[in-house]
Amino acid sequence: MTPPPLLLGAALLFWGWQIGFLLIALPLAVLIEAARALTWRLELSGTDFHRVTDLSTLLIVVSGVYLFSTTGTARSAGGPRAMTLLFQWLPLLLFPLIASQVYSTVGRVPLTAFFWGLRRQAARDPAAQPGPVDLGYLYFALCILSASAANRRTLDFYAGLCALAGWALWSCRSRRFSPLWWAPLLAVAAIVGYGGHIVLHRLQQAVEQTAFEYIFSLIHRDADPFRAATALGHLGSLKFSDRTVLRVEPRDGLRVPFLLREASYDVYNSPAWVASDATFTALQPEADGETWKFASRQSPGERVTVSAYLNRGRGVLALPGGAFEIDRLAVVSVRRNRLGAVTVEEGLGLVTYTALFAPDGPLDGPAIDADLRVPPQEAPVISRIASELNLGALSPSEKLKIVEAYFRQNFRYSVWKGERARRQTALEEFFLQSRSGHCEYFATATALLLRAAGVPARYAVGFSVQEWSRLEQRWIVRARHAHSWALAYVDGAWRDVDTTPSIWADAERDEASILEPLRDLWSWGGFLFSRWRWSEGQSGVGEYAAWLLIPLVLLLVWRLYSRRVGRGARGTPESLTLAPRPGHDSEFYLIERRLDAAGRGRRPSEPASTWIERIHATELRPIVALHYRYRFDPAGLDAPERAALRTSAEAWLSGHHVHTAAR
Amino acid sequence: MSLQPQEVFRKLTQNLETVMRGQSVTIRKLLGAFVSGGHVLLEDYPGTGKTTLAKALARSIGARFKRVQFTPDLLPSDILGVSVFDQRDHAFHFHEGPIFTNVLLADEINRASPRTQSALLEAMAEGQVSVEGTSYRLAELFFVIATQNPVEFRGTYPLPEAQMDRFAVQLSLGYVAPEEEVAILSAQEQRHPIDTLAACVSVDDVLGVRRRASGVRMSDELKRYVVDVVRETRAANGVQLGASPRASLALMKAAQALALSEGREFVIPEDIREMAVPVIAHRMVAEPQARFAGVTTAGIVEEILTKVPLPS
Repeated sequence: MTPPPLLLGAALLFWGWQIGFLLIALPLAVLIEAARALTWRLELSGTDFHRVTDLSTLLIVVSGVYLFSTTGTARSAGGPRAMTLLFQWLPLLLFPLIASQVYSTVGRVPLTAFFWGLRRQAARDPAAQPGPVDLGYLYFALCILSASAANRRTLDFYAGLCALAGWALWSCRSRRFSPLWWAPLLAVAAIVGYGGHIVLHRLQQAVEQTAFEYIFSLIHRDADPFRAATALGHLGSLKFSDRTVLRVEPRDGLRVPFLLREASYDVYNSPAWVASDATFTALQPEADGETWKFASRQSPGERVTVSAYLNRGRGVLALPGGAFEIDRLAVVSVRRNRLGAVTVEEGLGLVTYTALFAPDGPLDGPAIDADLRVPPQEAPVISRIASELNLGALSPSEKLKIVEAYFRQNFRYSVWKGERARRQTALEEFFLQSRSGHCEYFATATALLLRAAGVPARYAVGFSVQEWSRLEQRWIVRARHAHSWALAYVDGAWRDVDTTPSIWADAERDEASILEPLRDLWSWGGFLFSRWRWSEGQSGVGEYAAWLLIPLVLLLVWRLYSRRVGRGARGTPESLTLAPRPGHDSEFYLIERRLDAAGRGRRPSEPASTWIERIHATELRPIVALHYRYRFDPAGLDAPERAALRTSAEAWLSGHHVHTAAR
Repeated sequence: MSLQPQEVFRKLTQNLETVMRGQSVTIRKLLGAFVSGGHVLLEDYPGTGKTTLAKALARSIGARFKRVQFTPDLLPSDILGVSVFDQRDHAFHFHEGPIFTNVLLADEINRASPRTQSALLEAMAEGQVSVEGTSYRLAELFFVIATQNPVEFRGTYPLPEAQMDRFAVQLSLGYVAPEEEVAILSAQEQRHPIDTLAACVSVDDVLGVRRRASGVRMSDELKRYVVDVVRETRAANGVQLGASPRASLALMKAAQALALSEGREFVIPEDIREMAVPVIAHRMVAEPQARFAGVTTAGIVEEILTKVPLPS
């Protein structure tokens, strides 16, 4: 089936209008429809069609790469947008294919052009060559689908869609009924379709809303910066992944282990630390849009550059204690709370930022009462230890030293926990019996002990930077380097107090998988790709790819054009060039055509006698009998019989005019 | 003076319809195959009138008619004949078996062993039998009408594909409409109509019609159509074994006979389409998966008929 004249051109214009490519669509439409006026055709072979298809495929791939690399720099998630754009471009990218069809002598594209498997099969066995397909209506549908990807949601779109669909259907409507019936029915279908989509949309909204309310009522919980569940009291062994989560520079001047904090908490409610009064406030960026200051400060502090992945453009930043400024952070929104947690929103997939920090940086808010509170169920053991250590009258920094020494001398690191007595809390067991545990025990115990001694303290989680990657030539932080420690408020500033024995990192490393080097390599490759993809520069590979395509396209056009250019209209199929069939000039065919125009046509492979019975045209029986003798009796008709066939057919034709509109 | 072909067909049809009610389509095809010189396999459920139809045809012709009830212990010599030693002249004399006849009804053919079934092969294909090194010609009018029923599996030997190919057409009768069945009851209230059935045409008439049938003209275009249809069966999906050139030949002859039955001297596409399924379907073997999926070879042929462009 070939689309009626001008339909493809109209579909292309509609597509161009909807996605804003009207200037491109106009020449394409002219090019497609000009084929009907022009008489020359290219004699394209199956191989030529394969080349054109390969070109279109290449165009799609290159455009995909280009779109993914360029739309990513907009300050929104790039992937879905690139997909939508690619879909919108499809009629343009597949245009070579439809153009080669309409300008070829064959007028159709072999199915082998689309499937490698079929190509191979056809190469092995030329007899098994599948038939060609007419891409006309497929391309028409593609134009409409791509136009819909513009998502204009206007009445224009729907009206255009209905008009084009009606146009396409007009040529294959049933001729048995008048167009006066056909048009109103199509209009009714269009109106019902429009109403239906509105109802469907409302229904979906209602269902969505109900489902959302239901699920929200089930899982309503606080977000991460407000609460950290610990594994205190967790039995058995803890395991962490060796996935690389952060990359840290500079290579020199970093005192390892270097702590990067994500959040801190002030209320301990076993087994969780909770952030009280931790509402976030938005920060305003500096003029360049990428510098965010927590406080104005003149003296240059130290600096550290961190690369981190964001999940859907949002996340919690890992920052050194005392950070006062973040540079080159390309996100739309940055928020912080009084406990030093900094969240970002609407960033790219990977952010690389430089944090400036100084010992007395203003990231954390001043100590409040909550920073001195020891929960009642832990108070007995904590106050007992505190009194044993004689922390009463010392200065805060001296207290810190004693506490650090106390843990260093008396406690071991372990990620394994056995059974404990039922009455004990996890901390009691840690202090009095096992004297071993992982970093969460040490951090919690330290914070509470300091509080008991009158030093405001908090519980912090983050990462410990300590592994130098020789592969990447920078510091890397794995998921298993996640760490927790205490913060102590000494002399008006918050200080990191990490009492966990330093062998913890070695212990974790021993647990690492033997596949770790392979994963590192993979992870590094992913990082390099992400950095290229999310790079701010406009000089992505995509820019060059478009230029690379030009010589390829020129080469293909030249190779196709160097084929012989066939003159005249489309080549006649082989069967018609054979000797004419006997009886091909029978007047019965005129009757058949007349009835076909009236919508009562013969089905293919339906014998004539069956057909005239079906349409109740039994008066045609004698004509069919003569026609059959003329066609199938090798002896043929004699002159009077031939004349009888002619006159009876003409008599029938003059008596039966088609009343429905002729095409 | 022998009868006109159309007259022969009309009389035979009339005669058969007094016995077989509501089966005019099958009778038409049966006569087509009969006149084309092919043999017929009737496959249907018990009690649908297979044997009655075969007997009625034999009686209508006034030809010699023999009937063999096939059983597992039936031997080839039981069909072909056997040489018996004569004490008086001390020599062997050949005693002709039931195959030396004009119309042979091979009842429940799938109950005999393959050995016996294949004894029929030579006779059906070549019109002669070889017994102990001597060939005997069969009568000029030799027509095998075999029956089998498809529901029984125990103690049966399904006909091999080669033997199926020897039958020009396979027909089934099927159950008739309720009114027809009532008419059958009424007709047999006193006695079976077959008892009073008299011959209406002679063997010479039939042989004459056969000769006329082979003179029916067929255009090259329709021959090509026959070949196209048969070729398609070899490439169709779900087919393990397609139809042979013998099928094309049988289809052509059956179409010629059908054309003659309507008094035409040339074949039209309708003749070919009408005979295509009974001539082709039983020669094909569907793939096991297709069979389990409910695909029948008749269905495949029907589909091919809608696919191959029909000359018109």
